[in-house]
Amino acid sequence: MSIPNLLRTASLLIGSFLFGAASAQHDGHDHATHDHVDVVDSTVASVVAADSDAPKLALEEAEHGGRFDAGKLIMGHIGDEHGWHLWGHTTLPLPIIVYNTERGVSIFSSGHFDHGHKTYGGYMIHEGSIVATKDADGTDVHHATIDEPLTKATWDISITKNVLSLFISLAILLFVFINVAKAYTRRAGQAPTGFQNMVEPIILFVRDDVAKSAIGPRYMTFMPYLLTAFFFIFLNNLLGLVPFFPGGANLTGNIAVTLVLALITFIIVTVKGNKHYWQHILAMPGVPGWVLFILTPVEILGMFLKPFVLMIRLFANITAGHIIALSFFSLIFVFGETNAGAGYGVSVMSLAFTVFMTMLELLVAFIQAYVFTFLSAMYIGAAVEEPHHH
Amino acid sequence: MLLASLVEPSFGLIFWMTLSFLIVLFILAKFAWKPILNGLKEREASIADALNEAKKAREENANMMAKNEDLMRQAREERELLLKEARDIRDREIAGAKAKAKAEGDALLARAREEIRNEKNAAITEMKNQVAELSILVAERILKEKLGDAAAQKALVDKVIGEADLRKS
Amino acid sequence: MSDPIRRLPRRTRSGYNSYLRFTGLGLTMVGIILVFCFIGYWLDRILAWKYPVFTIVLSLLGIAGSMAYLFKETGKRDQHHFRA
Repeated sequence: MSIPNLLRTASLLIGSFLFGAASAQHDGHDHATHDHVDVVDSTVASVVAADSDAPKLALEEAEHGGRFDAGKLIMGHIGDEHGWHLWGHTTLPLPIIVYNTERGVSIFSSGHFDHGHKTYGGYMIHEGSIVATKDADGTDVHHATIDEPLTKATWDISITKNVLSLFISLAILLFVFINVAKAYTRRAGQAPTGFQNMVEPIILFVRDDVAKSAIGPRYMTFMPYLLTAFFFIFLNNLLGLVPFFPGGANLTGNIAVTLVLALITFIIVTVKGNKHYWQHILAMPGVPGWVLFILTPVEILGMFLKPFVLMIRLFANITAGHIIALSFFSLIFVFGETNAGAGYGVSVMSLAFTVFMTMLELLVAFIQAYVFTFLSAMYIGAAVEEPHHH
Repeated sequence: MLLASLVEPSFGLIFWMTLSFLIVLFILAKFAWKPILNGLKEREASIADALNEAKKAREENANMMAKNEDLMRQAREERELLLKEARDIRDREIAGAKAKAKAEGDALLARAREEIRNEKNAAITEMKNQVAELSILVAERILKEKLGDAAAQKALVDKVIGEADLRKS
Repeated sequence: MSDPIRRLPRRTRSGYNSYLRFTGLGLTMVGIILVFCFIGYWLDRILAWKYPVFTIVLSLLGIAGSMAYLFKETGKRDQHHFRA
């Protein structure tokens, strides 16, 4: 096992302690039926002081009558939030951008929401999403009323944790690959060096094992999309495994992100589909009419279902992986609540499982990026395939 | 409600994802993937070229070697041929000389034999002549003497024969 | 002496690629059946016949369709093998 992998695993574990402590502390205080945003915005100051001793904290909290909620911990990790919880009580405020057809555009910092407890600018956070209200600024959300018609007219394009993470990952992609490209032009024809060495095998893999093998001779047109999609998914899968700041957002496990990726594949397939492709969908040659009666609707359905499956698979795999890893981890606190000894005993097993799951996730990070790009390439390949002469 | 928020794509993220991903896709396509893929292709082409060239060079080398060997073999063959020719010539010369010598000897012998025969013939002729002369002489003397008694006749013959110096005649 | 070009790492289609081609198939088939069922259910709700004819017929059609789709997809891959 290589050292970077170990470091990543270690960082996940330490970060998980942080998250675990924060959420374990949370419920002891208030809001029995609160939204998951609060999980990470808990109002416990002691967390910062002793974050490395999370199991003990969780146990102490249990003694004070608090209850550990594994569901909230997990949802907090894989969900989205306005403002990025960094550690303990520290949250990075992010810009809220809301467009309302009646009120127009409002831009302000998420800090004004006071961790989702207050209203601001006629908006507040309810169950993780921004809703409109007519109450004055600074009203406690529990006393504020949601204005349904205005909420329906509200379009939230805030820079949330996931959006910021998206920007960061795209910036990393731009930085890395433009630099690598420079190396290629500067050292044309020479052996790769440094970072080139790291990405070149993957680029070759995408080119030869994904594009060439699935699309065929006209693979070059689709290389930019396949490469961008592969590295985007791969990088974000990895960032999702890093529990602290630049990582930690579960971007490829977010259905909006996989939706857009699958949609791009769908558009490419539909736009680039040739006569042969449409013929096979609308009227499969060599198939009797009564079979076509059922096959054609099925094919048309399949046209949409293929990218849909693509979207679901990536989302489900990444989210499930995170849920399982975090569940194993949560076991420590769940058992710890009943008995301190059991908590420590289970923590050994739990840590072992979490480490194992994280290793598995590293593999899954690559495999899912590969599967998504390969299946995209396959659908594209089927769309641009020239008719064969049998 | 938490699960719903998980499977329900949020509008804001779709918006930002579409916008920023497409922008990055175009930037990367133009400024990263194009040079990278071209660079890779060029390098592969140059490596393939180099390998081809090396192969060609090696083939040429092998060709040269083969040619050299051919030349060597040719030279060897030529030498062999020359040597063989020389041997042949020598053998022929020797054989010729031998034959000539033999013929000369034979001729000499033949001449000698001829001469001997001639001499012999001449001697025989000479002897015949002398015998004839002697016979005549003997006959003459016999005739001259009286051919009284037999003893005297015999003595006479012996005397005549003894007087005839065969060698002097 | 082996050919140096031959000795380069030749990238052939990996074996597991062919299995990957079918990973989406199961979910797509389930999707087809579900969509057909849903359309049948929706039609029955609108038309409100005595018996849920459309739900039954369309769900059966969906199963048949998903089977046809399965045969088509697997058959197609055998015929049209990809040029690596």
